[in-house]
Amino acid sequence: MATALGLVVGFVVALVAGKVSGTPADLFVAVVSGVCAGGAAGLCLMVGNRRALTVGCYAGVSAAVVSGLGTAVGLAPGISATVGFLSSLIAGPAADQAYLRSADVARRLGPDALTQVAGGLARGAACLAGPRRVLDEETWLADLRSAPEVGRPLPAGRQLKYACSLLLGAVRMRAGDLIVSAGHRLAWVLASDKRTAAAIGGLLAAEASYLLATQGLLGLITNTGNIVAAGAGLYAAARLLR
Amino acid sequence: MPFLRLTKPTLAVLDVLAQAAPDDDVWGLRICEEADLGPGTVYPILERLAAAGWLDSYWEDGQPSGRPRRRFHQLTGVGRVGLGEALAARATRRRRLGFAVAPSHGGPA
Repeated sequence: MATALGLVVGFVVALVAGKVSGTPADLFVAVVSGVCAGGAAGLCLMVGNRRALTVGCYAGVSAAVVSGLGTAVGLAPGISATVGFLSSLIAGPAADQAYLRSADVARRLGPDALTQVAGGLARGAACLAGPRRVLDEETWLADLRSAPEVGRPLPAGRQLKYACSLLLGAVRMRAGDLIVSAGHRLAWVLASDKRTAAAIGGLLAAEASYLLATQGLLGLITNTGNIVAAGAGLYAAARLLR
Repeated sequence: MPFLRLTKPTLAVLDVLAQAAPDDDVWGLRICEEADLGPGTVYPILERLAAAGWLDSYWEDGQPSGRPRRRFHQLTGVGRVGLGEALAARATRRRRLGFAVAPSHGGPA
């Protein structure tokens, strides 16, 4: 993930920088920075050291972004690359410190705290999912507290990841509810000729009044063809949906 | 029968459900593990399957010691028939379009 992020950021910056400044040398510097960002992250990933990976990612991405921005604002390629390199020297150790701090916080909080946070997130997800899914809270908490193989709870980190995914799922379910609800309303409108005509008429009247208010009567008359076309399009869409 | 879009994640979930033996209970976390999907993907799919009548859910009997009760899921008869028909239709469609037909993906057990 981090490697992909490094590569994506590096190449996006490279493309933007190349597009903005336009010279092949600038594009070259930016592309090299992007490749360095991805390469550094990939190397750390291969080493398998998460701390090194974090530092490598931040340093590489920083180099790519800063040198890319340098080329974008018109700095000479050599200066951009140097500034990018210097920024990576600052970003790397800063990321290292942040990593150590977060690891320390996690250690001090302990697995119990993380488990509680995961439980809270699962409950939050159940609330977000709506009253129709009230049983999901118990289901999800049961998932969090029992691993499939041995009946032991999932490790705290995995519980947290699982709970975050549940939150995402709750949002998706609610979004699905909204779409279904909108679909029911649309079906209700389309079920009757009068309702369909009223809806289309309302939309066209709104468009006409907007044109009248912003462009006056002349604008309305000029755009009559557009309004008629919009009406025909809406009518055809309604027929199709039926 | 309600229309169900058979996306790859849906097929993976159906695969786990279809492969489970009748006396082998399947619950959310196990589906996530076996289908290699997150619960944020699996639970909306389970909900859609239940709404289509393909899935039946029930609570674990009694109160197990040391952990909360689980909610089990199993494919209904309608679900097994629907899955078989949908997979056959999908295979026909893929053959017509010239794609290679994947080996049986979650066919009813």
